[in-house]
Amino acid sequence: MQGRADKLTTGQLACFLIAVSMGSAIIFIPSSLILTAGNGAWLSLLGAFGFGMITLLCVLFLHRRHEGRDMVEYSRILIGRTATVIIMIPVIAMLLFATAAIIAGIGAFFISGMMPETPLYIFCSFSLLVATLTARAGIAAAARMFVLLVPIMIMFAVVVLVIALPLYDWNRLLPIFDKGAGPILHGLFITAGFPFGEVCLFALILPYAGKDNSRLLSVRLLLAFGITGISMVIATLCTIAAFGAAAGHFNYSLYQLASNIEIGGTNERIEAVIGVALILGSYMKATGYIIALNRVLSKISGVKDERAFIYPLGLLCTLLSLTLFSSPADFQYLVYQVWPFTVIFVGCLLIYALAGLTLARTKPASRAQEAER
Amino acid sequence: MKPSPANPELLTEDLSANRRSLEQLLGKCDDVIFDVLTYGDNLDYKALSVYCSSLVAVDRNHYMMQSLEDLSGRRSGRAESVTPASVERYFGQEGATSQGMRIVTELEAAINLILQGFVVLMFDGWNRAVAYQAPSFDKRQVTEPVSEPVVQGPREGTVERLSTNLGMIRQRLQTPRLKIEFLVAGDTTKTTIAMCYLDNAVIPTVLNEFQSRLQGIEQYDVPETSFIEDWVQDSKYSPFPQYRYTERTDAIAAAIMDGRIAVLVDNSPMVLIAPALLTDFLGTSEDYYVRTVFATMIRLLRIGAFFIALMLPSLYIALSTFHPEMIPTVLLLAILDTREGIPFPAFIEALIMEISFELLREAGIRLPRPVGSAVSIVGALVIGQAAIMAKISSPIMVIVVALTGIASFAIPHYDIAIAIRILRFPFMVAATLLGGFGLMICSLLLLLHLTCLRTLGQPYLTSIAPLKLSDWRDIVVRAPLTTMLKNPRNRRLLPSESAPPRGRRGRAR
Repeated sequence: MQGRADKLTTGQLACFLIAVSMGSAIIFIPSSLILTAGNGAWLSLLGAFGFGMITLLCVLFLHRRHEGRDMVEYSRILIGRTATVIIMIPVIAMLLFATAAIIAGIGAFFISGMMPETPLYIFCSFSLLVATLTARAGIAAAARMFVLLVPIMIMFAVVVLVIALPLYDWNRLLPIFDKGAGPILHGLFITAGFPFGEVCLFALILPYAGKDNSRLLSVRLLLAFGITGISMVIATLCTIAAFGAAAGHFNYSLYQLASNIEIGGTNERIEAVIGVALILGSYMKATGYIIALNRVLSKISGVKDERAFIYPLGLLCTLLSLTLFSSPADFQYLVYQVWPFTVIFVGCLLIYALAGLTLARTKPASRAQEAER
Repeated sequence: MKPSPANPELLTEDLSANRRSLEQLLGKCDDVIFDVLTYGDNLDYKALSVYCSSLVAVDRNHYMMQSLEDLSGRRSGRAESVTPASVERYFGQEGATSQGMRIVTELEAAINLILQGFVVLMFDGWNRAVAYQAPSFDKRQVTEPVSEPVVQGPREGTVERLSTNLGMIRQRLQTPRLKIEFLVAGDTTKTTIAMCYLDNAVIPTVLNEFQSRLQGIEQYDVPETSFIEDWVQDSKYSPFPQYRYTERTDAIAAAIMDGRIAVLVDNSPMVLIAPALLTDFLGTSEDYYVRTVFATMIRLLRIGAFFIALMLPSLYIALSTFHPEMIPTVLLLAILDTREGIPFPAFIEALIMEISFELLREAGIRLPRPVGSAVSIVGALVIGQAAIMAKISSPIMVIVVALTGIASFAIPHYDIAIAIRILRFPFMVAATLLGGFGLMICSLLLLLHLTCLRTLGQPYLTSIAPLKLSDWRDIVVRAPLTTMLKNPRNRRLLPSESAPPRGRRGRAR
């Protein structure tokens, strides 16, 4: 178990959840979602948010029922040691892929617009270096930083959305179901995986919560997840209102939105703030995933040094971010098609299965007691 | 110190032997004066007065005469009737004298007192010595601190004399809860170190931590307060100061009331305040002596100055080199126009100007004051004007460097300003190599370092990370003084019968 120094307050955990669930998605998601779901993208988001809420409730249920243990520990209790190792292999693979994809996203963003001549490895290696050093400093230090960085990230996105008010034409939000419900369901599938379904991985972070005040913890985490959902919906609505269906053809729609802002009749090019928000979001999410990965590996291997895997994981993720995606199209395919499927049918399903097993193994009497509480 | 071979530690009844021992140990110390005096009926008895003439600034006979007068008046009747027996009886029983005195039995103690500025009297036939503290030579008077001037507020600063400084603190905190603990460090310097704290206000764990870290320092010579800082600090290689220095007695008293520990060292006017958080370095005493709105505006300005001093040159390099599209068109055209004909890239240009500026600043500090200001003015004119004329630097770069310099002067504490001066250069390198991305990476690394940094076990960024928004009323802004008096930010009054009543939200944290 981690020491007292590694225990987080409920507020810090709430910020951590926003950092891990929103991360860079607020920059990436609107355009790809609009491309798939059209004007009804925000409906997809609402549906996916509901799915994410259910997943988070399951994670909270498992946390409470297993008295603060992490996913590895209660898997061992529920299905045994060997089966736990087997089911953790896809979880580790998911986390490795997600970290590599997040970091590759930073590189892709800079290469596509702001710094096209700089090689990709520069962005990937430096971003992961900072994320790894933060993870090595411990979750308490990371959480303290995130409490500062999350408001900055949200503020930057909100500033762009507010200053872009003259660009919005709210009539562009209609029609919603022009191509039927199919595209919206497809959009729901994508966003249910990325970013909302990813909350299943928070089961590895939640054990860092202090054991006191679990009700407040649940309330704050649900509120934090609500902030993520609302931010995503607002960003998507604003993007549609600004660009209409064309928003889907921009790679980074908020970046485009920022670059079109005019103040006093001149183009003010404040897109740098979106770059800052993207780096912050990606950095925080990558840090969170490295911490989670390290925890899974250290629990499975039983090593004494709880931070032993962090540097090797940083190196591995750097190499993966450079080699995993052969082209931008490959990146799009893996992130928006394969990844949501994996999150829903591996990560979320695992959480649901563990929650079901926990529920099934709880005696009816203790279930009644739990209900009374 | 080597003891006398005849009697390893104690004084003897033989005055000549005592003198020989002292002369042996204080050999080649020409400022130590040995005066043999005689007294009693027919001047039959001898006494020896030993003192350090470089420390004692009074007539040498003064103490001897006064003691004997005291003795004869109260014990022996007439001055002529004083005998060694009466001396022994009178001083041995600590008879009242017009001077404060100490009785010494050991040779080493006698030497220590002589070297501290005492006059030591020894009498033939008595194996003890009487020591009087003589007024020593004059030291610097209490004046306004040069490094922390204020427009409004007290002008009292600490001096090199420890007792004067402690007295000034005692005058401000007239409570028995103010504890002062002494420690003597070093065989050679024998420096007295005083540790002051307010009982029930200081966090016990912080106090214990500080005391445990201070252990062992008594073996070493401590010439100045900075040696203590280096001895106890958490991270020796961090550019950020983890303890604060001040010369202002009002600042010391306020810090002690806030639960901090003040460390005073004899012969140094610099007082160490421990622990010190980053936010402490952005405040001044004067913030509490001016009106709330003004103090708030000044604090916001100072926070702005912190970031300007740290990042403005690197931001300029990043924007002009990597992201010119982000500069408004009219300004960009103006910059391009002024940069025409400059043979250096923005980084080299900035580096030349920054190094020139730092050289000027250093020269201005080290030179005598009248010459220093002249050098600064001439240097600034030469470097600024001539560099532009010679096409070494653009006017906009001169503005950037000048603004950076002014911003660094607006930061009230010298130590933190130095940290920013050092960190500015890695930021510039990062901006040159990677533009805005490099700046972000550097900023995150800096934030990570600050988040991990601790001072006496407390997070250095307390109130920022971990975030305590309620504390920001005395960091980012300055709440009205009535609010702060009712509910002090840091004034941790731990439960105690002697503790005064707390404010509405005052709490033991």
